[in-house]
Amino acid sequence: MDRMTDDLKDEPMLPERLLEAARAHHAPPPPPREALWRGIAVARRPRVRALPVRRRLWYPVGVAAALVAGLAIGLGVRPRARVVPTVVARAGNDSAAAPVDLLAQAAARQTIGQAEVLLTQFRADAVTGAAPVTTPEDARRLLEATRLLLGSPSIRDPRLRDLLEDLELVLSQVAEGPTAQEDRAVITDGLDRRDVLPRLRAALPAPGVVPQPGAL
Amino acid sequence: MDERQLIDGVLQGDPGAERMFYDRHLDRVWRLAYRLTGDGDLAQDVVQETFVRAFDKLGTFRGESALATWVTAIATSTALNTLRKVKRFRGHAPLEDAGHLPQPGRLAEPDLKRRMSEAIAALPEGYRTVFLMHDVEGYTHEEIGAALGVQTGTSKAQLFRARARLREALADFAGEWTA
Repeated sequence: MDRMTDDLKDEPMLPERLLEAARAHHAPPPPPREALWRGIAVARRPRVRALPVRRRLWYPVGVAAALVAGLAIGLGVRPRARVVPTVVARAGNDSAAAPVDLLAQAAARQTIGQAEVLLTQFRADAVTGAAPVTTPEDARRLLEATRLLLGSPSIRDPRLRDLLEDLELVLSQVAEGPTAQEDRAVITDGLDRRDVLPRLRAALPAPGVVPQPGAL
Repeated sequence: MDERQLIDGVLQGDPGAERMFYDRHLDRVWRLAYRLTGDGDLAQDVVQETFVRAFDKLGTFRGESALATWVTAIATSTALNTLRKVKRFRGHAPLEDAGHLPQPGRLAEPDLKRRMSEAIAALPEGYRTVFLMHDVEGYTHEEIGAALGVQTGTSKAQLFRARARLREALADFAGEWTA
């Protein structure tokens, strides 16, 4: 059945004048055909999956990996008694937040802080047309840390997960080491459209503020 | 190139077939994404993600529906998920209930469009989606059912309620359209 032959029991079609007004609701302009196609091409490039073993420990990856490793070891391994109050006390709260959650929050803060620095630099270079200061390797390390965090059940806040998912997408593009001005523009355009940098900054505690358990 | 040849070309990584696939479906996907999101940036995100997913999953397309219907289903689900994510991130600022808007006397056309837009935005998500797809974009109930994963009867019922709510919200225009 098509729209012009609805059952008689259906609510009658709206009067044409109202339908005309409805057609003006979110009336689509012509699509930006070529820009969209370029964006799709960039997004479809193979993402970085396997990363080479690195000799150098890099803090966010280390913390995130420790988080995942801690979870993998299992709940049967209890943290040493003196570790728990140290971590909780440092966070300035006597709530019952699990140490592994606090570790996840610390890893998330560290990763987000590093990502904010890297993406701010990437964007500035792209906008000015300067040679990129950031390296694909930097982005790959952050990408790995981000994916570890996304795989952690301790990261439950939906807003934080949304932010990390958007961060993963952007970092996977930066990790490919785009050099063409056009490709870099597509990435910065996505950064801006998703408000990634403002959200990263908003997620970080102000300098001197001691984060509370449960807060990022 | 028919649909089967086009699909085979895309699956074999033929860039020409990929572009043709994109060109054939872009307008429909774009219109739907823009109608549902009402935001150019969000619509671009939806279109991009729709095609990325469509290219990734085309191998799973079994031909049980038209290819356009299959692509529309991806676009609809992507658009609705995007809207939910945005709402969650920004916090839900409920739109003013159209039923409580000021009730002016005879309204000029721009006011009618504004009031209609507010009334559509105030509809529940399911009603709004079906109304926009059916009455504004011209999809059939069968296409809507396939895109949303619901029965045709559900689509009809939601359209019925959407129209009724819009009539109610714009009741002060009744004298004008029955005159």
